[in-house]
Amino acid sequence: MKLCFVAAFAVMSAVLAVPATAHHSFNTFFDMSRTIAIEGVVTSFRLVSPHSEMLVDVPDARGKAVAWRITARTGAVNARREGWKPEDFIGKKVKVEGNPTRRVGGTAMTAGVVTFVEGGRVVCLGGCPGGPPVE
Amino acid sequence: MKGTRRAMSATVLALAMVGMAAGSAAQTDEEFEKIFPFLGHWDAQVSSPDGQDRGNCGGQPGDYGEKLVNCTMPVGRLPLNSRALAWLQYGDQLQSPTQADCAQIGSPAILGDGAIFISAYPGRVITEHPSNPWHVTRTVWMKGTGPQPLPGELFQHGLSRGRFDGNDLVIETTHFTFDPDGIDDHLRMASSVRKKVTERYRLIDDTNLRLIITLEDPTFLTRPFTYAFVFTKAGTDGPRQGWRQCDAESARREQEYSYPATKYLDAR
Repeated sequence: MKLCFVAAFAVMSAVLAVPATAHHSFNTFFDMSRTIAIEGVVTSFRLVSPHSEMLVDVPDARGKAVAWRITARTGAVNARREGWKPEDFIGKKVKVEGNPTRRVGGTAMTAGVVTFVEGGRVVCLGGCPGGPPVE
Repeated sequence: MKGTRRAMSATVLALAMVGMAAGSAAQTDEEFEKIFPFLGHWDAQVSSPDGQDRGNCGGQPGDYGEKLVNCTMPVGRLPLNSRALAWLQYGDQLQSPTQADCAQIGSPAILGDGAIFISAYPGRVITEHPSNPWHVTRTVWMKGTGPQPLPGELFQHGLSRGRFDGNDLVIETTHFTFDPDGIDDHLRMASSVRKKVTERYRLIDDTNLRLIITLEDPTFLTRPFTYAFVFTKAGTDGPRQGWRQCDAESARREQEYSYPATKYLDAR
């Protein structure tokens, strides 16, 4: 009985996991050939479409907090399937690795890998192994 | 007893009226046989392996020389007239209804945006176009059924009427509103109310479908433009209506933070 349930769940998951096609273009906005990393405190995390977004306060050379906008490479549906909850991120110190904005001097990137500084938990926001489908 | 009889009469009358209304749109066995092979979930073979570098907009760069991607047609071959070329010079990403303000993309761009799910009912065919961040559903009226628009009445996705030409399913859509992204949203090429989109769905075999699209718009094109996509029958029973509530504030912020620059500095 338990096996049947697991099998049914696996089939359901496979069907439901059919990814929607990406429409908004990452390459236009981000330099996908470069990877950068920032470290700061998460101030906002919104599970929205077309792409979930996280704001991170990163100290500049003078120690002043500068807001960085992190674009997840997936939308709200996959974010919820992944079990992401804003409260798990907000207020936490994180290291974010991803591709930088094409805007000169811009403080934005598409992620990428998020590593929680305390505890070392790693979350993929899309485009990395084990993460949700890019869309 | 009298009340029961009156209620039954009312029910019979209502059923008769429904039957009369549906009579002109009733689907014959022959029509069912024709539409049946088209029903289901079709995946477009237009994505690169990472799903991102589709199209490259025919090599057309953006305002800052950046590489535009995700164009849903071979826009490099579009027969743009001088008015269209002037429009491309004028447009920018922040005035794009689809990229900055979550508006659904229109036809023909939606036809090459991934998958099409086709279902049919007497007198109408439904095409669904799941994408991120939209799920566009269109009604195609068959056999002359459907609304008769008033003069000048226009619709975002137009008015679609379908018919069979031999075994091809042909859909003609007119009555579009002016759309700043109406030819392609990544190219940011507009379409006018004179736009006409003709879709010809032709089965290659049981599991492969060729969609031949002819785009006409004398306001922006020097001649009709024809191109095609190939679709493969997907192994699922169709797309699920996902949670597609696009967040316009976030979409616009993505443009403002990440596009290479801002073209009109006094108009954000």
